[in-house]
Amino acid sequence: MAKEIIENNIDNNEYIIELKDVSKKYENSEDSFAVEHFNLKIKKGEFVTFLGPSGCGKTTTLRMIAGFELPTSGQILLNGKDISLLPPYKRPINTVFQKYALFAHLNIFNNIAFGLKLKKIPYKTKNWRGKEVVKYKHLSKQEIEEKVKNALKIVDLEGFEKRDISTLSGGQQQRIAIARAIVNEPEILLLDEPLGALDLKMRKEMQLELKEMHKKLGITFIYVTHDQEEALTMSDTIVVINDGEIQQVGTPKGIYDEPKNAFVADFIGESNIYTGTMYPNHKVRFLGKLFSCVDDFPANQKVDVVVRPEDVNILSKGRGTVDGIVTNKIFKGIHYEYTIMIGKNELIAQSTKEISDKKEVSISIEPDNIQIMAKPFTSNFYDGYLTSDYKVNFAGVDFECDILSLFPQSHFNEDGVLVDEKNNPIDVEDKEVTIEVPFDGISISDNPEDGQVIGKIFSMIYLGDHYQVTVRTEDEEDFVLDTPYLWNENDEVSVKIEPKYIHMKLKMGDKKHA
Amino acid sequence: MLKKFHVPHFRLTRKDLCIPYGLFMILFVVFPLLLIFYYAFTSRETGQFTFENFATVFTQGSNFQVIGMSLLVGGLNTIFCLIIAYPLAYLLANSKYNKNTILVYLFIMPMWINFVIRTIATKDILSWMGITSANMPLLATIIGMVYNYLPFAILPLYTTMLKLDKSQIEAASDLGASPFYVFVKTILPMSSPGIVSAILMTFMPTMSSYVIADKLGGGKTTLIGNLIALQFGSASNYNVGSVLALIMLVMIGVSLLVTKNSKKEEKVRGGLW
Repeated sequence: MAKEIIENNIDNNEYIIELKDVSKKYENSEDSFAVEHFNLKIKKGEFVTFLGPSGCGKTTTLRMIAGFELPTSGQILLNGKDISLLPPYKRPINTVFQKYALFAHLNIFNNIAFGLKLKKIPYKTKNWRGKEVVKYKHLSKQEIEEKVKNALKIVDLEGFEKRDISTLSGGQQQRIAIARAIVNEPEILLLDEPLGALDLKMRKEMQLELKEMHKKLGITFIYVTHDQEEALTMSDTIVVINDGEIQQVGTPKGIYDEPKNAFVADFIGESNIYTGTMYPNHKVRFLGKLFSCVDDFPANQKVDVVVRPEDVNILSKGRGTVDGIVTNKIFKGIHYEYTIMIGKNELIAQSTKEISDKKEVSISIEPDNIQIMAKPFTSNFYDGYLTSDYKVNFAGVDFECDILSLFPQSHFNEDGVLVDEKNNPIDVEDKEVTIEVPFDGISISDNPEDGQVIGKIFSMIYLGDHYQVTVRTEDEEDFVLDTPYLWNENDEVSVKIEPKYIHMKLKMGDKKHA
Repeated sequence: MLKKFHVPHFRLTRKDLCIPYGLFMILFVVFPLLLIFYYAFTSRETGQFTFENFATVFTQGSNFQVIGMSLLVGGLNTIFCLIIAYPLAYLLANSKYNKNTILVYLFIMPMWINFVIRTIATKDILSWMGITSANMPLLATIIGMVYNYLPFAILPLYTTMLKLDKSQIEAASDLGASPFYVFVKTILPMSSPGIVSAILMTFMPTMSSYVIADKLGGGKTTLIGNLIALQFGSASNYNVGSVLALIMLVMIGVSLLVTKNSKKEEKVRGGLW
């Protein structure tokens, strides 16, 4: 909150580039937007990183800033002026391309000098009438040579002028690409996954060098990557993007410590994400137990709960909030990574202590290490698992479900076994899933035989033309549904869910095996 | 213990695979070349070694005219083919204008029809338009040439255009090059292997073709190919014909050398070699 207020007070002039409600739809795509309602302000001299999975729209956004793509709607302002439709060669912005895009037919000097040779410098002169006029001239040969030499010095490749592009290693080509861009002294330098093709060691080196360069040059950097570690290392500001929409904007620490939603939490660093229910007095229920937390949400609201593996305290059995059993142990250098089964839920925890496999332990989490995020509230969310007879268990009951939708190209063979396209049986037992059931997919009846699970009407809210009813089961699982009928609180009802309304998603950890 | 069998030592090596091709080269390339050399340097009557045939060719002024005409028609044909094929190949290679490759096939299609039929049909169409071998033999010949050799110019250009590095084009634009400079500084150098191939594919065969000049030029545009055909045909003078064939060989050789040297400077691989 405080941060937003500060940001609003800053004079608009400090923003070098501003994206106002920018959307982009590619001609050949039916109706999906590559970028949707993008609003972003970038300060002069900032190192901003667009972070997101591939296909999330980060490169499209970068290309719109560079001018290679035109926004379908919205405005891009550079120093307050609209440049949305300006062709790339008229923008004071240079790009370092993902695959370098060096000119193969030119040597290094000519590659770097490419932009300089085209540049026209305005200068004032007096015409024959003695009036002052602005004329344009090209840079002189010496000036160009001087600048190229300087640029090569910055990227640590002095004396490479005469060399051919093809004689350079990947890392060196990358440096030349950077030199070619910064030599033009752009107002903004765009970097499109520039380190993607380098090996790990080289990449780490270049990350530091780029950061150093950013400090020295004072140019605004906009950096695109899918590597969260790279983003955390280098940026002043990270813009997390998914599905063409900005998920969160913030400092690396801010985004890591306070992810706004489950996607950000999952994408930045490792995390355990659970569906929880808020209780009064700063309590949240997940993993079947009540945990203290610092966030304030209305009681009974369904929330996403995020716990970083390093924030889990592993204690001896019975001493923590909830007990579990260690099922997997990986040595990671400085610490161990444990998988702890708590009931049917997996919890990833990190600790420097060594704990033997299969040991029963107990875990606790400090209240301020439990991140809670509101869920979009039109569906019920549950954590569940698949059973061997192709049902899904959640809220303590097995439900019929459309299991084929979970495994693309799967089908049942003549023996009724689920198989993949190569007729290999798929083992679904105990696979963890998140389940989403929309409000209107649930019906209740007072005949206990009608539904799959029995619960009591816990709360009822009148919403104009219908009631929103919460049914709570004995296991304290909630079903929220819309109904036109009036019920009484504490009525015992049976809850019925049609299989087609049970939307399932395999949990991240299990994708590897699927 | 496994019993060891003695297997006769025979393996088909890469060298062995070369044998049929070697034979082919000797039979259809080296031997005919030697034959041409033999005829060129021997007398028609006595079969003795002589330079007489060269003298016959080079003392006749009309022969120089024919060589000049061949170079002119070859040059004009190459230029027109390039002018038409270059922008066309650029458009065809751009998926924005050419959603599938059908258009490319449409332009290549004339190659599927018999060469002679095509040429005769061109002749009829041209005369219907008022361009006949009688009033405009050179124009008719060149139109026929361009029509026939256009696909050979389009194909190599099209394949190099498909391989154009779009990011280099974008980089040029990003660095401040206007569309014109982008073309001159990146697209043109990048497509130069295709241009060289296109030149060779049109210039070389034009020099030796004789059907087109024969049918469309009506004997009024005589190319070196026509002359060779005449010597080996109705004049049945293999010796003078061989000398003409050697002259053509040298001319094509020179054109190859010229294009090859220009390629070396570019240091771009692709095209014909």
